[in-house]
Amino acid sequence: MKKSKIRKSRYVASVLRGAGVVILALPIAACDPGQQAATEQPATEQKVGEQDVKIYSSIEACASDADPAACEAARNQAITEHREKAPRYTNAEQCRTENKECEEVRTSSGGSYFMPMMMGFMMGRMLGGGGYGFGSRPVYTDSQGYANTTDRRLGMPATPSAGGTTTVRAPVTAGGDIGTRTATVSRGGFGSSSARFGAAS
Amino acid sequence: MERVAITPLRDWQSAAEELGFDWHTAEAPGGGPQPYWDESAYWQLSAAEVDDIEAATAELHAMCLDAVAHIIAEKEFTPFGLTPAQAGLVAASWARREDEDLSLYGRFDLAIPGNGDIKMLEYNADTPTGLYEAAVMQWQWLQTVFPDRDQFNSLHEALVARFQEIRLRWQARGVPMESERREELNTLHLIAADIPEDRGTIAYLAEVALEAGFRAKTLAADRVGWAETGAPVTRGSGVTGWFVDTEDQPIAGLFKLQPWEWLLADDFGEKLLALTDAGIVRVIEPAWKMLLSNKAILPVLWRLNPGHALLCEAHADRHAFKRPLRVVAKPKLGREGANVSIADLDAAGEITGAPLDHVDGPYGQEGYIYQEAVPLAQATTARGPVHAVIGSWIVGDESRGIGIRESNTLITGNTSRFVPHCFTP
Repeated sequence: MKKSKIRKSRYVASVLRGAGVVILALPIAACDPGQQAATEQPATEQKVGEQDVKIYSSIEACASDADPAACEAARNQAITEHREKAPRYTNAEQCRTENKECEEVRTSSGGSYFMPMMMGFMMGRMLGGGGYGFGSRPVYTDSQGYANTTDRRLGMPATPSAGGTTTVRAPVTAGGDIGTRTATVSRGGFGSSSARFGAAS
Repeated sequence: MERVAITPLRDWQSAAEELGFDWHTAEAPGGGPQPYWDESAYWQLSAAEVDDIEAATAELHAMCLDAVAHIIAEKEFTPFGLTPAQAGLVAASWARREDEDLSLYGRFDLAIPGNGDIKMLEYNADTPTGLYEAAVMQWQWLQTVFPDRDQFNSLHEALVARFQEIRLRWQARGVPMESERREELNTLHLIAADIPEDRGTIAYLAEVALEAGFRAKTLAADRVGWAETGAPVTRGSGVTGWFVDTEDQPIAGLFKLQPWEWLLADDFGEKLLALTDAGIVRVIEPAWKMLLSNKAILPVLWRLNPGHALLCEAHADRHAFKRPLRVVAKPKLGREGANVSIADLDAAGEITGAPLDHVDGPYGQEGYIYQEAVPLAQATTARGPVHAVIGSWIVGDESRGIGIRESNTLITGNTSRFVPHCFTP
């Protein structure tokens, strides 16, 4: 019968100290060896292939692959999108929950907000919804290490940054979009359950 | 079993808080603080009594599983108030009970009046609490106060082992969700209402899950998000999204401390049902536990095992007792003693006189069942008589320990005190 003292005291010492447990929205750095980098996508978009996307941290890094003037134009276009479309957070903690690095932006009225910091910009032919124009977009690293644009996830960087260039193997959709569209999230649907009569039994 | 009063020698409040047990003091019914953890006494059992409780608990659990199989085979869902879709979920979950719908745990409440009887009062099979108190706080008390004695309590290691089983089963099955994120396969999300006792319970279970190899994340239930994609996430499921945590990580393995019926009635209820049905979300406790946590199971148990020594006679209709009897009326979905009353019936099944005890509460619309009143374990103290209910834990399918709740009234409620126990081998 298993009712003797077979528990070891180390259990009791460790409980409720929170070591290792992720409480609410704290970011995690853990990376299990068995985990695969993201290559699949939701069924909402048909994936037709994959493409290596290069992310440049500077015009100089870009200039080893392309014309410096095109690189400068691309970076400027990415910064414009960054200013207009990057997510904004009222405090640093919120921002760091979702993003690896954040920056504080001061407004002319004296207030401030937080935005994810650009890790770089990507450029290429297929950007911009299937057109063949030359497009560029800002790229960010989220708290789990994935590279994202303002509205799409590209994937886990396959190569570390070398000379300011990082490569990500990203899905390409039938519509010519690179990356996976981030779903729209709504919350509070279990709010009534939480507000009910208190403790479980 | 015998209640022994002692003077608490140690600064138990600090010891409790040191362990993270910050809900040790409750609010008294009339206001003001009242200890919830109470070590001014303990219950002393004999090894033979422990053996009897262990055997009775295992037998009751087996009877309960047989009753679930019967209800599902005969489609007797009406007394449980389930919609057809919910009944379908329960039946599908039961069919997977040896696979990804393994049960983690449950707690029987037992009456042990001291005459050799052991009677099942109910089975908290979906959202039992008092676990941390029983598994950790009580054990730590034993180590400090009576290191030479023993305790019926191997809850912690049993929970770790069962979580490991569940994790391996889930991993073997995979997740049909065509998400680009795969790390959710090994993550368990634990949700509860944002109140100290429930927060503390999932914090403890998160530690257990971590020890069993899960990545564990806890969050308040109202922070769970729905990620809408606008198209089915798996072929043929009709489900167009999934649940996410506050980092937008998809939730594939969910431990919930809220009862199934609350979650299903909530705004995300239909989504939870669809995701669980499609196998995109696995839930602890699994959906089939809804039948056992509902007190409508008590008349079914009695009907299937009439006169069984471990059961109290129970009926959905109080006229069915056919003799003068003291009965307890329990709302089918009540918790923590709320809306329970005790009264005497005459031979025609009518209530005579005023109720002997009654607790107000928000339950009862779902209907009541009636159960023969049986005496609890009792003791006389300087503050008057106390009544004790023995909470006997099942982990997986095994009887693995007890925790005792005491109250001054006949009905054990939310503020009844948790009193430790020990036995001498």
